[in-house]
Amino acid sequence: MTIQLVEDTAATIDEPEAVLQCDDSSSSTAPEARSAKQMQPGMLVAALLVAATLTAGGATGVSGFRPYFAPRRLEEWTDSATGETECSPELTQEVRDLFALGSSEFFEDGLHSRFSRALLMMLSLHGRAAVLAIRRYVQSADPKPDVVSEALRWLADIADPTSLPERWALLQDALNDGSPRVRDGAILGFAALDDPRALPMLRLAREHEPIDELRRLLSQVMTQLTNTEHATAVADGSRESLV
Amino acid sequence: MPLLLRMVRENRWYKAEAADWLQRGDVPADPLGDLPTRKNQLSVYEVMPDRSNLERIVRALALTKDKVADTGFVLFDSELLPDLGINTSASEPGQTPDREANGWHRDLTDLSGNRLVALTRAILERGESGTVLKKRLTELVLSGIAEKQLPEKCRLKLS
Repeated sequence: MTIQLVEDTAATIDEPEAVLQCDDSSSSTAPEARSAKQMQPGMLVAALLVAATLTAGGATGVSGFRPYFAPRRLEEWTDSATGETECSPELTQEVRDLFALGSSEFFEDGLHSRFSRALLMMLSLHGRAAVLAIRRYVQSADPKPDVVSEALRWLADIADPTSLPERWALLQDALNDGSPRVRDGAILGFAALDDPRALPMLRLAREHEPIDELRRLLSQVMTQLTNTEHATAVADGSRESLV
Repeated sequence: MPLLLRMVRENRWYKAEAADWLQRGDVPADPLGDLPTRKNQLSVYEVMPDRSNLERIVRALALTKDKVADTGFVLFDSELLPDLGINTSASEPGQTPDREANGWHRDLTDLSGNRLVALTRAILERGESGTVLKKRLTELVLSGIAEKQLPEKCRLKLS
């Protein structure tokens, strides 16, 4: 089971899959069983009904939140990860154990650790539910800033559109954290997402950031996102001129 | 005098966080983790005064890791070293996939525990830090492969 599998299934049925993944996570079902293609017909109908409700503006509000492709979608933006979906006690415990594992490690840029491998495996298996559980753990417990920072770097760097709202919300929380190391992880997380919709938030963060090095890092990331925005606009213009 | 670069996790080197320690005549312990020695030597790279090879060195170092990622570094003037009793040796080339960058490798030698702490203090007080973002490094790696500065296999470190 890899992250690619989650991407593949997500690409097949888009947002309904996101709902299914999160619901299934509460029963710790194997990820393979979460594919809509393999579900019982009754469950599939029920899930699609739930998905339709959410698309119309339901509880998790996943609708309207898509990966960044073009400037025209800026207005579609919604800050949607409400975190109302329940996470199983097992997953909550897994997250707790994961962060305990991380607290004994020394992290280096570009190097995998036992923590990063376990984190990626958890995200691959549980998708959105894992991000929700991590967000709640970070909010309610008092994890070591180094571990949170490391988690933010890795979870921002996966290509899973279904969990993007939750990952975005987690990074957004972390951008205002009291620990500079956590804020560092959040800033680098937004760099990994490379989504220009983060620009206003990063601009605000830079105004309030007391650490010189982080203000400079914010400027670097903002430059990167601005370039991405321009490049996308140019590519978009080229496509339209061809039509 | 040239500048010397050491790859670190930048968030362990914030000056504001270290200020209280330094005022007490001490240094925080976390940055020391980024300065592991072997045979009492510490590996660093020499950066030109105009910093024209800085990104190339960081690119080369990033390629020695599991995958190309945001990569932090500290930079300090080699003029700091004589006062700390630390010598520099250029006898061993670097072990990166970039042959030219390997020529900029230096070892800081005769490092004792006290000298390592003094070096940490000197970097925190008078050095600087930075991070090269993953997206920029990816561009640099691709251009390095295209210009034959890097072997094709370096592409495997991009994800």
